[in-house]
Amino acid sequence: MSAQVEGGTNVKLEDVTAEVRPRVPWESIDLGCALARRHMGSIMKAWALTIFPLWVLLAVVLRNHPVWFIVCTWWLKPVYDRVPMLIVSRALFGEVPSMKDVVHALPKLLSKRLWFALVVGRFSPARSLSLPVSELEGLRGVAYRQRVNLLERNGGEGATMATLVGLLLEVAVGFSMVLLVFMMVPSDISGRWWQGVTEFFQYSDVGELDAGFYWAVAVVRLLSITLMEPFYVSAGFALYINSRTLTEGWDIELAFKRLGARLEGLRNSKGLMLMAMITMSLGVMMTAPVSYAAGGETDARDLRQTQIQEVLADEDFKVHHRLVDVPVESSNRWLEDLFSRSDVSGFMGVIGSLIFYVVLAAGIVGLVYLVYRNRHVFTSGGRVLSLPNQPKTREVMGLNVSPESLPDDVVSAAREAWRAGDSQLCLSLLYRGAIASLIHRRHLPIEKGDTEGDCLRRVELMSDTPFEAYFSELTRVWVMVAYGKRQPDDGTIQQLCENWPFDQLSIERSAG
Amino acid sequence: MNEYQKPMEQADEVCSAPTHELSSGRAGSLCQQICGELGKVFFGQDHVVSQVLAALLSGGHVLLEGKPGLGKTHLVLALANTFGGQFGRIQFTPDLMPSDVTGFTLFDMKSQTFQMRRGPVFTNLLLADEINRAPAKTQAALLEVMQEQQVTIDGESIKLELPFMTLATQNPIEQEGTYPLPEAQLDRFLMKVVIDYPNQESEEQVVEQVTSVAAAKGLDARAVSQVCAQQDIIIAQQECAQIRAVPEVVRYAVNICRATREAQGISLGAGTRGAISLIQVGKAYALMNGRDFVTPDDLKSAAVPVLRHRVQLAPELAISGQRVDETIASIVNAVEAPRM
Repeated sequence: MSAQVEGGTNVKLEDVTAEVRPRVPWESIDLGCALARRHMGSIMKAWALTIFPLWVLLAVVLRNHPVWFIVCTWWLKPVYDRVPMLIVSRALFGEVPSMKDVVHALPKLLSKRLWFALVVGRFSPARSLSLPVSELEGLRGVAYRQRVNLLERNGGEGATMATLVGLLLEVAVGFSMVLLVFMMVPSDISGRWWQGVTEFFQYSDVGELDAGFYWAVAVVRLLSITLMEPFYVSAGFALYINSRTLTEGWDIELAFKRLGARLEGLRNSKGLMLMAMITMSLGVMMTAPVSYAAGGETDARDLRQTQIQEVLADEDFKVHHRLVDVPVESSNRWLEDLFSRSDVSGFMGVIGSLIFYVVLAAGIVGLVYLVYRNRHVFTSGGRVLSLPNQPKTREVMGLNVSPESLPDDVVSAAREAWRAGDSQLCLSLLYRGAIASLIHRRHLPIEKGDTEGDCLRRVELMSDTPFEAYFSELTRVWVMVAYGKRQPDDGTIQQLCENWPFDQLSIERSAG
Repeated sequence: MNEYQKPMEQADEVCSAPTHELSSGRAGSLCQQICGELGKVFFGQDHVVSQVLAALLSGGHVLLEGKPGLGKTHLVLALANTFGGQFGRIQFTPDLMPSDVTGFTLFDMKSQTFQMRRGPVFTNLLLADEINRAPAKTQAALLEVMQEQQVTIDGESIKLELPFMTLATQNPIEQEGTYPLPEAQLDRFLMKVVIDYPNQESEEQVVEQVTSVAAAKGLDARAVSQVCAQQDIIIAQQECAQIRAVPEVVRYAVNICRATREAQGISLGAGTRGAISLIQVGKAYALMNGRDFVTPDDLKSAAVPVLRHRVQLAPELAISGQRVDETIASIVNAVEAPRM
């Protein structure tokens, strides 16, 4: 007797390298992890030979779209799973495939039922358990569904938990690697990186992020997938083996095989052979009248079948089913009363299913909303040069610096105010105009709490700015007027108006 | 110093009709001379020098904090020498009595009269070393002198000679046998100046200077030249008090102090005296920069040294490793600058 495992071909159960016995799901997962550890060298070699080139190819194709690269490499995980599955499934039955075998199987691995694996099977929570059904048994359609349903009865929940735990561990491994790197680099560099990570979670600043950040995330993701995926696949494969052991009695089959092998050894010894012959003779004598009466071997077999059928038809072999209601003492009497006229368990099951689907729908809607809200990240390869709707400071030092609050022609308005003798209004217009222009045109990050000195320092920090000298002079005169209550002379005002280096704000205002 | 903080002479070139009669420019120049002289013997600590000078101009007192050997005594002695003032030093100990600080009367058997023995507070610059080592009543005697600027001995009140400034240090290491100053007493100090280690270059300069002369006395504070008289400092203090602070700037100072009281993670914020001190030090900074008016930037520069001893972090914030200076800086940055 043999079992059908890989590619629909028969494998010898007696060659299995692990103890085949019924296990609880967590024991099976443990066995899977042990298998992965034992054959990690082969798995990693095969991984490097097949998956790394695929990633390199993807990276070249999507070199300007790091976010899409991250999404694609995540989406293709079922394809990667086939590589460790090939190694582990064969290794369990004593045949570790060589790299030549892996390369030989590569076209099939990368192409077989790709649509199904990446679309229908991608979101199955028990993906690791159903993977061997499609990959090793080669079942499709209704037969696949029935087979998966059958196997999931003994390990489906274990496979789902393995998926969840695997997901968490993958994230943990990723974060651990990042923290390790953070600990290794100098604090000033890690500080800048940390700021980048913080900005990623702040929508308003995501535009500042470099594509390098996304590539770094991609590398961490790929490393964590490389470390965790072999264990996940092996755990699912072990659950699959366990489910088949429970369903098909592989352990009993193996026990019989071993018993048969032992008896085979006994038969080969001469003394025991004689004993066997006596036993057989007795058997022949007992069955001879019937056999001979039937007149042939075929008739004897038919007779045995008939006898078996008769025995099985007896009342003792009939399977009876009886449903018994077991009364359960509960403090929730009111709840029971409430549902007394209905099938409570069925009702609660429906409620549970409803809650599950509501939570699932909310999760999907939330995901879609997040993607929609951050769609700019996907449209420009993770780098946003400017955010048109980003709110900008509208007030600095109590001065309204929004373009709407200022006249079209700031310089003319300032001159008019100067002629009217209002020096503070004149300087205020020029200063507000300059600040508004720096904020809205040059994207200078001026905060509400910034003083004149802070604004000047920020302008000084701007590279290749032609405004520094002018703004410095304007700030000096403005401070004299605002805080010193001193009157500037006409020449100074004329000079400030004539040398005004900023564009008119009317365009900005109409755009904004 | 920013571009717009140029000395007043330059400002007058563009701003006609000065509306005050103070010689702020001269005071600014005097401050620069004092800073220059102190810079000869106190390397790489320019911010410490300007803060101490600002406290002197404001007529306030300073709490000095720094590890031993960073030149605290040296700084005070050198500062006294720049204006020809007297320098006194008290090492506070647990057995120090109030009369050891202020002075006492002694019956002279020969003349059959009571003779007054003036204590070490009768000086211009007083260095009160390890003030937290003395018991509360001795501390109170000194703090009263600082506040009143006069000493009462046996019912007789004697005015201290001006300028008078106390620079007190605290033992920051040992806890046993010390009497920490209560918050109300700390509030009497205008600012708390922190002296940290100088940078590599300045430290090398100190070592080179000190060891270049025999007996390692290359950095003698007494070698500092006198640039002005005591009277000039008093005039500068009077000028400092007359520096203009527009109502918006005063409101800014009050807002900063109120923000420290309302901020989360602060168990004790700065009181009204904090806002007063902010304006006083802001005026001193304005004078030192040759201006006759205070700008918000003056207050922002003064905020950390003026408020750091008046603000106490809540335990949860202190445990998280947050420092008072960082907290004050973030509070000040969050306060809206004056509305003009």
